[in-house]
Amino acid sequence: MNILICPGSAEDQKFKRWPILNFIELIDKLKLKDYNVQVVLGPEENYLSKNFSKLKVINSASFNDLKIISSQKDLIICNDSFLMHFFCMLGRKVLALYGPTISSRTLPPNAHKIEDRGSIKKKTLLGHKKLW
Amino acid sequence: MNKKKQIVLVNLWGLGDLFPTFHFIKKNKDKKYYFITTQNKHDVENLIELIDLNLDISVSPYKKKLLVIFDIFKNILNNNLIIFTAPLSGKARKFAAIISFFHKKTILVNEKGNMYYLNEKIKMH
Repeated sequence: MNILICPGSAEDQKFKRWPILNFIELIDKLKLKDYNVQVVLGPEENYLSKNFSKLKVINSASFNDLKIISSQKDLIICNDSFLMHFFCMLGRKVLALYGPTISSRTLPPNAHKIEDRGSIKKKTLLGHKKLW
Repeated sequence: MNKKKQIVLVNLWGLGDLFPTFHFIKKNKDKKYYFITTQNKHDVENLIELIDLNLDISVSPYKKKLLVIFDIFKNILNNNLIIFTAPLSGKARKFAAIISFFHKKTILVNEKGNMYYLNEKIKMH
């Protein structure tokens, strides 16, 4: 089974990220079961790659690359982030990890979710970057 | 020549927040859309292509609020249908409410609920 892990989110929305240590623990457990795990990081998240030194990390891939990479995966695990929306729109099998944001508000129709309010600091936001 | 009247979609939030609007477009394919966003034009057009939304969509990106307002007023003068898609809250919602007061062909999506579902429920008359 090929699994893609996306531990990041936009730099100004770091509060949405599941703790990196949890991702590392999850990856270790998946590898014990012989799953093929790959990590993808965005251009603003490259500094996280040191946490995944034993893995093949894909840095700053283009949207097109991400489309191709994700087509080869059986499951994608990510935070409530751009990638969650993108992969779901492409029809990929996505497991979204929710912490402070509200899944009932942002979860795409075809996504699966796990809510872990204990691991991520709560923040009273609707889960959107305020641009306006 | 394409004689379809364009429908203006307005989404003033982040890149990920555009997807509920794409979801709406997917459900209403036979229209001509004019998309006002604060995101990078190249990124938005690239995403539209990658998710196979090969439809009649033109993207109008603005970083400055004043330009967004100007573009919306231009579309009001052209009597175009303007839809403010989900997510729509905070100042963007207040702005949309003011627009809808002056321009009856404006649709404001509901604020509460799943943003994909809210956009799916939009009914164009």
